[in-house]
Parts: sequence; C-alpha cells; structure tokens
Amino acid sequence: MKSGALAAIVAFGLFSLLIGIRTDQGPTGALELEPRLMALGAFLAVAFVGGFLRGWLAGEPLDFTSYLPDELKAAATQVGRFFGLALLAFAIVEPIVFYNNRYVLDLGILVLTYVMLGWGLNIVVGLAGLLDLGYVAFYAVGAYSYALLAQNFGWSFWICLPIAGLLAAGWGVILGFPVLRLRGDYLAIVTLAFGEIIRLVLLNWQSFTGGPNGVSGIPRPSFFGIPFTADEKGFAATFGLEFTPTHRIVFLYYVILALALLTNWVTLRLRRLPVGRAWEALREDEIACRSLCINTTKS
Amino acid sequence: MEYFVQQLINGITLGSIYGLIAIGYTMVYGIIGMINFAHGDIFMVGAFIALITFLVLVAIGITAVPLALLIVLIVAMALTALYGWTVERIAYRPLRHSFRLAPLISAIGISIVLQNYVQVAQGARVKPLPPLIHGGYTLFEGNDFAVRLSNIQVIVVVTTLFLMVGFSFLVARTRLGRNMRACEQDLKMAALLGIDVDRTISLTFVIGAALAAVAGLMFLLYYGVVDFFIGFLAGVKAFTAAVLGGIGSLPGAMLGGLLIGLIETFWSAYFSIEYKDVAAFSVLVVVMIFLPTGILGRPEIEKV
Repeated sequence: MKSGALAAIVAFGLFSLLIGIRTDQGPTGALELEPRLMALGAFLAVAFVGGFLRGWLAGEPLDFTSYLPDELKAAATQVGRFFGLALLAFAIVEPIVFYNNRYVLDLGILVLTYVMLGWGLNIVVGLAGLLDLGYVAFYAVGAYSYALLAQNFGWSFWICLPIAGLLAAGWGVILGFPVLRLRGDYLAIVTLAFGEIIRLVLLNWQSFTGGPNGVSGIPRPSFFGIPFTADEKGFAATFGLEFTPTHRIVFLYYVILALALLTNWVTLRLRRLPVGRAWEALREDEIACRSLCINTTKS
Repeated sequence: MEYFVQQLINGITLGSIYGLIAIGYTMVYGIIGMINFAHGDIFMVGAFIALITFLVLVAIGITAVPLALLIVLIVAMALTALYGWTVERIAYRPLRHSFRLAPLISAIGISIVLQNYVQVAQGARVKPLPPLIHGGYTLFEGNDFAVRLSNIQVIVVVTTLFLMVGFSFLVARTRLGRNMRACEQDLKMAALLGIDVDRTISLTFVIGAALAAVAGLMFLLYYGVVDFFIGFLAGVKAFTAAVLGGIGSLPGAMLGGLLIGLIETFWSAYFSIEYKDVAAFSVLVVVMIFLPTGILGRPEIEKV
C-alpha cells in the first residue's frame, strides 16, 4: 500500500505538468493550455497499481517458467527445433502464396531489409563487441550510391548493386581507420558522431544528393536483363505468365531473401575462421587479446 | 572587429548553456564511468517543464517577471531532478553489475523514450514563448555595426557563474562533495568505508539534472522556442564539450562548454551555418582520436 502511494506521488511529480497540461498553439499564435486530467489520472492509477504490486511481490522470484510442468518444457524444446526451419520455409513460400497482395509483399521486403541490417550489425557488435552506433550511415551511403549510379550512369541493377556495396564497405574502412584505437564508450560516441555527420552532409549537399528532396526517378530493376513490363519483351510474356505489377516486387523479395541468407551463412562461416575467433576473443577481453599477440587494430 | 566581438558575446552565452549540461555528463562519468546519453533529453524535459510552468503562472495571474522566473526556476529544478532520479532508479541502477555497455544501451533507450514521451504528450510542433526579458546595452559602435549585449545574455552568464561557484563549493567543502570525490576514486573502497554509494550516485544524477534544468530554462529564455528534439543535439554538443575539457573534471566541463560554444558561433558566423553541427561533431571526432583525455583531464590507466 505504502509503496503504491509512494509510486503515485513520484508519478504525480513527473507527469503533472507534461501530461496533465497540453500546450497547443491557439488562433493568435501564442500557446494555450488545455488540462488533461483524465490522462493524468490514468497514469497515476497505473503507477499506484505498479507500486502496490512491487511491494506485494517483493522477495518472490519472477521466474514464471519454474511453475510449468517438466513435460511441457521438454515438448516445447522439441517444437522449438523445427520452428526455425518452418519459418524459413514460410519465408520462401510466402510470395507465391500472396503474389497479388502488394501490402504483404512490401511488408515482407521491409522486414527482410531490417533482418539483413540486423545480421550485418551482428557481425560488428555481436562478434567483435564493438558498439557501432553509426552503422546506419553505411546503409545511407549504400542507398545513395546505388541511386546516384543508376540515375547518372544508367547501369543495370546487377552492376550497381555490388558497386554500391563496395562503396559502402570502402566508407566503412575509411571511417574505421581513425577509431580503431578507441575502446567501448568512446567508440560508441565517435561512431554516433560519424553517423550524424554523414546524415547532415547528405541532407545539406543539395547539388550532389538533392538535399531533403532526395533522388527520384531511379530506374526499376530488371530480371537479368528482361524488364518487368507488360509488353512482349517483358518478363511475363517471356515466361508465359499473366502480367501483374507484383512480379517485380516478388523478384526483389527473393533477391533480398537470398542476400540475407548469404549474410547469415557468411557470419556462421566467419566464426569458424581464425579472424572470427579473434573477434570473439576481442569482444570478451581486449587486454588479454593484446597480451596474446593478437593485433587488435588489424582485427 | 565589431562583428567579432558580437560573436564572442554570443559564443560565451551559448557556451555557458552547454557548460551547464556538460557538468552533468562529466559528473556521472566521473562517478560510475558511464556516459549518460539521456542527459540531453533531461535538459529538454527541463525546458518543457519551465515552459509549462511559465504558462501556468500566467494563467493564474502571476505576471511579474522576476517573481515568475524565480518560481519557474525552483519548480523546474525540482521536477527535473525528480526525472533524473527516476531515470537512474529505473534504468541504470539495476544494470550496475552488468557488462560494461549495458547502461550505455539502456541510456540510449531512455533517450528515445523521453523524446517520444514529450513528442506524444505535447505534440511534435515547436512551442514558442513570447520574449520575457527585454532590453540590453549597446556597448560600442563602428562600421555600421552596433555591438549589443542583451539583458538575457547577462542573466545567462551571471547565473552560470553563480551556479559554478556554488557547485565547486559543494564538491570541495561539503560532506556530499567528499563522498562524490571518494566514489570517483574508488567505488568499492568508498562502500567499504561506510559511504552510502547508492545515495551518492542518486544525488549525483539529481544535481546533474537540476543543472540541466537551469540550462533548459536559459535555453527557453534565450531562443524562445523549444521542441522535443533539442535534447539530442544539445546533448551531443555538451558531451563533446565534456570530452574536450577532460571528462571527469568539473572546470574542464565548463571550459569545454565555452570552447564549443565559441567554435559553433564563429563557424556559423564566418563559414557556413548549415554545417555548424558538422563542425561540432568533427571537433568531437578529432578530440577523441588525438586527445582522448581532453584538455584538463587525467590520463586513464586501464587495469587488467
């Protein structure tokens, strides 16, 4: 009871001004106040209940799995082994099942893009233990490289894609050079700063990158040279299928799925190589690494 | 020449604001070795609390500016200190014995939480406040340019000086300051000698947050607009200031703040104003690479 009241008092101090009152610009341009007592009351109630529960459950373990029977846990472990494979099969089959549903396909591509970003970050943060906060700057560099190459030189999708990847990797090397001697916290801050610098430069360099307007009119990808159009030279006519605009989206989905799986496979192989082992040792204890003659900078 | 002096005045004012925030960063790093990413957003929350308190005071009829300022100062410092305390209890204390980067990642999370909290609670648009402190002095004229020192600039610098002196006194002469210095040197030993380490750390966060609240109030009065994103930029620049001056050192934080304020003002005055943030970030990168302990910092010996 007491901890609930205490939590409610702290919550009142925290939320009374920022949630209890809403400021909006009125017709004269000056800010007007609008009290929101219901919202404030809701927050206070939640804080009270939370504090109360905390005082009530104090000292009891929050390990819910200890209450389950053992047979259930064994069965769940068995199912868990097949779960990953089942999800992978679903990922491969999904565009065929949903081939007309643009929304599901777009969502799938977005998810796979993030998965690939996550797996890439896993190599830096997970394997080597280097907290890289400016990682998405390379994402931006790759995207802009592809866009500007495709737009200015007109090369096809399959040439631009690897070149954009190489350019982003090149930037990674350039930015990595000066920061290699730093540890933990400092590395995080410097990579964050680099990420912000790249963002600001891309946003402000209007003549090169188009500034806030971005790059538009990027040519669409083709299926190894066969364009995805509705005429006779198009993809649909060549393969004897009926034309839908989603063919291009399905193609992109499979490209990203293949690339993501490639990233994962490369990661698994890298862990077995001496380089990968050096990274994992680096992550655990940098000083021990140095005393064992592993060149931390080169890793 | 006149332009230069005007930019000098502007730079010192901006630098004072950054210095106040930088003290929070440097204190927390000194005592638990953790960079509090959320501190910039605590500054933003302080600015918002100050804004809303001003509007409430006007709504209930207190319009005398000095009295309103005093009430807003006290309320903003108290409530922002409460935010600082809460953030420390929820996000940092449970992770104190976890691996080294855990509190850092948690701090990034809290930073995002605070930004979105204010964005949802108060709306994403900028919030303007009509200027409350008018007037100033024209120092001298020449070349068709009059060098002006406005009252608000005087207030910012004087308040900062006052707080710096008070804070140095706190750290050097009081028992709390002694506890803080002891924890900074050796946390385990301080605990063994009977210092309440949890309380000392909490109070460090609380004082840092209170100073950030003052900085937020100054920012609000000086610029007249706040929005939910000012915390991120101000936070990174203040962190740059703390690192530049030597992280863990209090006079270093103030010196670094002034330097960053001056660099930013002179860059936007003489070069290009769009890339002024890039200048601040580049300074951070250069300082980290070539001078990681800063100007007034102590070299850190990493023990096995």
